Amino acid sequence: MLWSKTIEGDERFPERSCTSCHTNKLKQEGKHIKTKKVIDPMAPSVNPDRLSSIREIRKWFKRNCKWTLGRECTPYEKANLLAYIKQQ
Amino acid sequence: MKSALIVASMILVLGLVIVPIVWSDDDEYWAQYGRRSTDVALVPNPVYKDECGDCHMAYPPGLLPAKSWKIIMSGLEDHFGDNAELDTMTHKAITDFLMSNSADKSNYRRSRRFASLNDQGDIPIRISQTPYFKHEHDEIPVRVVTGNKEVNSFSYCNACHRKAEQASFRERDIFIPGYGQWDD
Repeated sequence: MLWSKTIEGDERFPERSCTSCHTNKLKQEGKHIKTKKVIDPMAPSVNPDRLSSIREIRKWFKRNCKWTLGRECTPYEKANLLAYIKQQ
Repeated sequence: MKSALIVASMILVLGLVIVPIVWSDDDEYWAQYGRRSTDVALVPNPVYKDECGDCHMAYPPGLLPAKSWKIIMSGLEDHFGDNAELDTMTHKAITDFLMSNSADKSNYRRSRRFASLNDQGDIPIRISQTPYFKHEHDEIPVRVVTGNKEVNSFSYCNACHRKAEQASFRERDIFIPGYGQWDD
């Protein structure tokens, strides 16, 4: 599962993963790895705002795939991630 | 004799009134009696708050001069180690907002100071790199900020400036977690 996969980063953040900020518990709050700002839960079951805006989904996929993987996610990866988040 | 007494008492009264004003923290004085705006401008902008405030405190634009904001906005793919890319329209809207409300375009007292950079120095891309910021924080021991788990970094204005998000950085609103109020 891409969500919990660890990807090699650079000296600033040697290990990167979705869980770096969102944790493995999607029903709980996360925390931005750098700014420490609290991130609302990703699970739509506890946070109905999640996956409710195409614009937001596109924006965050772009930013966060690039930060985590160093590239944009493929459509296949995005579909898997969306399906995983939706179940939560 | 009588007039000398009157003059003397006038001097005394004037002294009692003026000395505390001159000696008091000028932030407090101007905030209370208001001559012109003392701090930095609070300019609410929903797009800015949404897009930038999602990850960190939406720093009031009056904390950096326009040339600093310009550099920051031109490198959002690597925004202090994070990717903060924006779509073209949003990018333009936020850049315009920051440029037109930057420190050098503001009349607010604190912004005027943030706008004054050393001539020979590099253009700061962090608020904490500006000469005014450094001047204002030079007496703060490292242990109460970077060595303090509840603060961590000078980037987290609102960890100690409890009204930072309302664009108020007055001394009376400072509370350093684990240490208390700051009085210099």
